[in-house]
Amino acid sequence: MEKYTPMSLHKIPAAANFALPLARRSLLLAGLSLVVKPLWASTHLLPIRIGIPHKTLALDYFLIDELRTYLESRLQHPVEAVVHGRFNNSTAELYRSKLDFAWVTDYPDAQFQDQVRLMAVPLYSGRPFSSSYLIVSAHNVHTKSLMQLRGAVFAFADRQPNGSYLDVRYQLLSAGENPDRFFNKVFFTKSHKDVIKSVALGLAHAGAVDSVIWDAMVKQQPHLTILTRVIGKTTEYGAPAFIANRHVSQEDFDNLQHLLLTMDKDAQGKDLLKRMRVDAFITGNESFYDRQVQMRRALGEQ
Amino acid sequence: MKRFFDLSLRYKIPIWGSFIIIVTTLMVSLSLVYKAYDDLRESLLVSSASLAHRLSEDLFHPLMEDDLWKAFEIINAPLVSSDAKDIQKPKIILILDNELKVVTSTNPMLIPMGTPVNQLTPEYSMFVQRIAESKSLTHPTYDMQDEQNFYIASPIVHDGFTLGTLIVVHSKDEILWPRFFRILIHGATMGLIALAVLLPVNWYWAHRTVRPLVLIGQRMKENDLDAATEVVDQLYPYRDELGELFEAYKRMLMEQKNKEALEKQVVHSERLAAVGHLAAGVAHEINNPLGGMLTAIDTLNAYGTMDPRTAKTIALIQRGLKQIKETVGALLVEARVRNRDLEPQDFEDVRSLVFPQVQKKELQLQWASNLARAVPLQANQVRQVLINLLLNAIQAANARGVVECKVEDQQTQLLMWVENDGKGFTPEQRAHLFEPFSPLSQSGQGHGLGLWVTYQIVQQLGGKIDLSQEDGRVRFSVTLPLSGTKEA
Repeated sequence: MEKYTPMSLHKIPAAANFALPLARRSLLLAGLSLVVKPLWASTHLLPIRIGIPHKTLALDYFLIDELRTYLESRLQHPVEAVVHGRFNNSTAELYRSKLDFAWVTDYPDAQFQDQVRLMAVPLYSGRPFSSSYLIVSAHNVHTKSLMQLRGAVFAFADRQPNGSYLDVRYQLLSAGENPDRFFNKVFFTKSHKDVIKSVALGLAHAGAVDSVIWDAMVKQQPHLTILTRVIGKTTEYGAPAFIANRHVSQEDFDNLQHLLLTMDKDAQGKDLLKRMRVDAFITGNESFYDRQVQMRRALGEQ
Repeated sequence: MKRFFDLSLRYKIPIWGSFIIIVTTLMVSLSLVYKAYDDLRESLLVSSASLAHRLSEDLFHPLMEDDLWKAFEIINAPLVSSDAKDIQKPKIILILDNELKVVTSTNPMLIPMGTPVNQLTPEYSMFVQRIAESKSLTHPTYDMQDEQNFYIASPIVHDGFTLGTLIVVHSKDEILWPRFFRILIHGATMGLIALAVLLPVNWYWAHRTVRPLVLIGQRMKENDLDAATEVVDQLYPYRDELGELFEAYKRMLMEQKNKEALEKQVVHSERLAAVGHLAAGVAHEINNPLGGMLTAIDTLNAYGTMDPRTAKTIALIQRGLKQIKETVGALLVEARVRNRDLEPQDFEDVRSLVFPQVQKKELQLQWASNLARAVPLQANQVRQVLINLLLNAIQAANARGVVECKVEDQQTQLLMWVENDGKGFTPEQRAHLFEPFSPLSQSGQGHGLGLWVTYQIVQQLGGKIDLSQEDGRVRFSVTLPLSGTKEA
């Protein structure tokens, strides 16, 4: 019990009130280690709330729950995973619903720059960057570039300010097109897998899909990817960041950051990382996201 | 066809039964299959209409919010049902907007977004036209069918605001027909099971009913009426129409047999009477000249003088004529002059007369008589009858055997019977029992006229003589009416 470091969550009563119903459930899930503790101690054990994207990172619920259990056992503190698959702006969500930490796909959001701190960045293929493939149906043998897709039906995974949606629109803008009028129809599937599916089935003429997820799908569900063809790759942009709410104490910040950064050192953590297709977490640097900020400015979003 | 009707009932009845069973089973199976098919079609329409209605409700908001993927996922969900046999699984689902262009379909390769409805197969246009003609949108769903498909439509409407139309298409080939064939196979299986049970039962029942008829027919063909009667008793002990028919047939057989026996008896009696008449007539005609001849010879013997040679010849002739007279006399059983009534003493006399014969054979003679009065019967004739019967009985009885004689006065008639324990008569012998000079006469003694004479006397007395054989005893019974003779 030497490693026991109680979180200073009792300093924020509003968060405590909000979190109570969920906290109770999480306490029950928290494991046998807590049963032996005196009852009064439980009031100091409000769970850490971590926002985790569901579909945009193609993580299944088993994986999210295993990650939660892993974090909980390593921190020796209840952890509540808040799955935010539906939100477009997860940073805002982090702030508004008073999450403690979140893995977000829209960092950095200038609007909340002061409320959040960059804590860790995943390494995909050894680099803290993501990219997207531009895919079309395998039957379409003529299309070779984005610019030939005028008037097409285009599928994105997410309307989030980062990632392929931002990149594709930036490319169109750079080519002198109106990004909002170039395609006949744009729709969002909220999942990279469904982007592949919609292109494979012919619902969309083309789509943008995270390259890491597409590469993984080639192995997992080749019957879908074989129906699609990659015609291009976007330039790299900063990988989804693990960020912390400003109100989190330095101690808590350090504990979780340390845990994330050393996940690849133990077997269980390594297994989880592998299944999340992440090599490891690193401390991260704001400069990773310079290009996103630049593109967003060009599109007049910030 | 006539050849079929000429077939034995053994085959005809089961074939007819089988034919009726097969036709019935076929009709029942077919009607059930048709009903099942109709129910199937109905349930498909109902479930599909409910599906269309549910989907169109779910689709309103995604379409309103232009969430194409969500709309696609909603209409695609029923098609990815894991159960391949799911009757509700549609072939294709598509959404039309208010301009009758395709918003999305479950097969975007085939029916891409933005396709106007009139570029699809004509059925869609017809269907849309019909929906438009019905004007009121109060119906939650519409349906139509062609050779291959069912079409079910449901407007995508919320609070009266219409966004478009959902069309669900079911392929008959993929859903209805395979399912129908399964029903058909099921129906056929059930039909075959029913046949497997009913046909053997039918054959057994028909065989059981027809067998007595067939056996009786065979026996009648073989002219074996006794066997035919037995067949009826053994094979069909039930009291239905068939049983009554068999019973009536049996009665008819019995009557036929009785009638034949009666006719035989009549013929026999007539024959005996005719023979009696002939014999008596001949005997009478011989007797008259014979008497004259014997008288002449007597006269010659008394008064004539003959040389020895002539005397010897005359004696020879006289002996021959006497022998003729005896024989003819035996044949001449005519009612002689009435001498006196029969008295109990007459039976004692008869007993005494036959007693030496009884002793000679060391027989046991059982004698019983209850006659205690004089009855109006000619004593000498009754005595002759009884003596004849007794002598026959004594002769036929076994050595040291038994002969029994019984006389009973029954007020209106006199019963006499004589019994012995000797060998019985064969049916052949019985048929010619009372005929004169019967070659079958057991004895080989006497002139073979004893029973014939007895019969003639009994006939003349208006009585009856019968032979019965049972338990190793042979019994002659004679009944003589006591009143009839007075009239004679």
